[in-house]
Amino acid sequence: MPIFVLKRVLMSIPTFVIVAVIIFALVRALPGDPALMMLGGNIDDEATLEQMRSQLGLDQPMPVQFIVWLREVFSGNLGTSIMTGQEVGSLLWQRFGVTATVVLLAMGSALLVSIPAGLLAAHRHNSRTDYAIVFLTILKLSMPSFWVGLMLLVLFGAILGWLPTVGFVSISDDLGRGMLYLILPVTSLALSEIAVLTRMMRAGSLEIMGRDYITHARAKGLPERKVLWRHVFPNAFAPTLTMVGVMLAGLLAGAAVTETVFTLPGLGKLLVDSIYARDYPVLQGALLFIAAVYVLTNLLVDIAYSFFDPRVRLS
Amino acid sequence: MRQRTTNFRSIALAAAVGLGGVAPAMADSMVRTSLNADIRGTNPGVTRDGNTDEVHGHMIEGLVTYASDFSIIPMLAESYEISEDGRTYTFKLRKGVKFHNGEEMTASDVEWSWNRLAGEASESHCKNFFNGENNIKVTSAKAQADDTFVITLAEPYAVFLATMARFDCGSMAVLHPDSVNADGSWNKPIGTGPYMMGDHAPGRYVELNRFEDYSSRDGAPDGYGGGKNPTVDVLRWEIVGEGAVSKTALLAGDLDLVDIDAMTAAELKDQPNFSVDAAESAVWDTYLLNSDDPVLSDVRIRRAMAHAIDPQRIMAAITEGFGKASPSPVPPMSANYTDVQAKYLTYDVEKAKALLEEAGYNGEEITILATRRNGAYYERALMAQAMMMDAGINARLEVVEWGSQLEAYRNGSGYQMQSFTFSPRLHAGLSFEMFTGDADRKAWKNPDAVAMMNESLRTGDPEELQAIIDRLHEAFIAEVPAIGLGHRTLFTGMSSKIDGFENWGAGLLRGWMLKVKD
Repeated sequence: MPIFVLKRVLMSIPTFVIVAVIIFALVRALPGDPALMMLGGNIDDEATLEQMRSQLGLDQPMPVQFIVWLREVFSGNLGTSIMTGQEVGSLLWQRFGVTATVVLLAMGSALLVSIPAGLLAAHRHNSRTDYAIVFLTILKLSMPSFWVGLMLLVLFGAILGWLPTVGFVSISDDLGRGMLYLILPVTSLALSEIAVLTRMMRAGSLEIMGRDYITHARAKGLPERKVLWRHVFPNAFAPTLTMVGVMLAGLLAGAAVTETVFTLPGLGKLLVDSIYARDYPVLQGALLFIAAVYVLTNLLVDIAYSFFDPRVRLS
Repeated sequence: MRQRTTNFRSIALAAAVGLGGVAPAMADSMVRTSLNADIRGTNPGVTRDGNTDEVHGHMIEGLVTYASDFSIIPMLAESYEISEDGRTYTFKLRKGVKFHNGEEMTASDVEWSWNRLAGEASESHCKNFFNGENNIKVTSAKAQADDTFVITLAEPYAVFLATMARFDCGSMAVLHPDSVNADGSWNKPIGTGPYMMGDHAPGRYVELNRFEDYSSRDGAPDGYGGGKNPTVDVLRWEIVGEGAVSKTALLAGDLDLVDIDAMTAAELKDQPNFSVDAAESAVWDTYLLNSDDPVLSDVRIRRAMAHAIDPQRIMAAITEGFGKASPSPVPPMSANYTDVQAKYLTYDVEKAKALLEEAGYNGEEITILATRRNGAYYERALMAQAMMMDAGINARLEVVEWGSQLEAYRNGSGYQMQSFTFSPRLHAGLSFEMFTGDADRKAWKNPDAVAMMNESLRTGDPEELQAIIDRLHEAFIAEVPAIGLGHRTLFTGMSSKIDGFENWGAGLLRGWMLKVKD
């Protein structure tokens, strides 16, 4: 396994360089002048704009800007935010902590619900239970996340008054209050994941249940529960795990909608804000960070495959 | 509803506190409002944007500021005198004004603060307003005595004081020198304002605490000046990016006062436990026309477009009936808004059609650039498109992201007509200057208009100023470099526990006027 991990890490270096070039080019191709955006839009004099561009280093030729940025990135410095003056590296790490907390809690909750629900639906294929589970997942999938989030806020915040509607408290500062602020965003995110994963788990289980070794397991008198958990689950979970990897990477890269609705200071919100503000250092740093998250998550998922599917060997 | 259900939250909070072991700190009195993005920093006039200026404005003050009618009034100055030649401004400082660190303000602090923003080494954009880049050249700014500060200009300039009072420069904020560290780097704002910096959790909230030793002027609050007697202990701005979430938080009681849109205002106004404030501001909603465009270079086409658009209906629609049209760039609350400024090219489809025919208009496409940014840019453009098509103009809507539209605005190209908004300009001359001049982005480049506009910024005589503003307005109607709609109605939704709130033309929150009812 160490050789496999080392190979994958080495392979990711050229990926990062290519990603860096693409990120830099795309960010600079965005229409809009960061200096103008910073000065509030309808600023009236050219000297002020030039002064701001010079302060931001935007008066340098593009190749010079790229080389300076790449040199700084390789020395571990992602620069400072144009908007807030904060170090991009520490800013990303802070924001990632918030996103990771929400995403991992949501993913954990979603797996706890979707695996049994998918197995149950497959086990009771074409029954009322199956129809109900399929109906609920389709219903959730057809609702936009933004709307679901707002409805949760309206119901549990405005109407019932049970949970806070704005603000955030880190669980590292105050575990109890932090959890209170996490209930709605985690629920909102988990609902979306449950819908997708349940359907994946159900489809995978149905396919496995038709295999000869399942018929054999039943024929030799194994209780149905054991058939499901010992034989169906590990084999049906592999494709679901692929989906978990893709979803996890996507969500860790920033659950922008959830973070916006629930006023979470996470990575997705930071990314969206930096796009609107043309905050080049944050935008570039965040995209590079997200590329790293994708690479790392996929590596971890590949390693996890070997635990669930004996046919996969890390060699 | 809230009474019935808060018990659950109390139980949940109690349980949560049990887990964490720390009770949330509760201030004696707090008003919670929201910002759609975090503040850019704490350095007034340097790290700033519109949101940031609003927060800074509670901590800092300058020598002068804007009154409700946008005239200039003393703030930290007790009084000021202008020399005969209009070049020397002598400010007498108020006595006993304390900084947040307890020290008393002197003229040397004022000089230090002036140089911080307007000096050669300044990082602030404000220095360009005083170094001759934009007409005003300050040749000296010195403390003459402990209570006297003198500024000398190279040439007289009528809007000098109005420029000093600019919100984006924090009214040339007077700060204590300990606001910067020994190495010259920024530390924290030690100002003279009624609130001082509290807790700032980036991306989450910013809090200001009441300054107990605040030295208020006598009298009632007036614009951004006058008497300020804060009673609320803590002002807290939560960072809430989405308007719908702010509204929900207001309904839930998690925010006390939020900026809302017209639809929400219409919903809330009859609800118990809430109140709505609707006030006309100096923010000008308009359509900029590109007179360099081959089709729009014909003034008859531009006049036809103005006659085709009904500002009354559009303003009524986008404000849910709260607002009304005021097409002049000069805001109605300005002392320079007279019957002349009330005139505009009225809605007349037949006249529009006749002008189009006279100009030989042959169905050429006219594109309206708009964005879906807050502020009804898109809705305004959509309604204008429908009205223009009704008059026989082949209008097409192009919706772009705000950065792209701003780029087109700055370059003065890439658009024929755009739905645009100008932030408040609190001098009638500046109301024209925002779109008049030689720069690419200016929609009105006529040399006569530019000369008149420049003259309006130089004259110190009120009657002469009014005459110039009237002439400018007549020329504006005749040439139609832009089609004005109105001055934006600002809506604020409040819980019933908030008292004392009043909006004003500049639209900046004045937290020192707020009270929390028992």
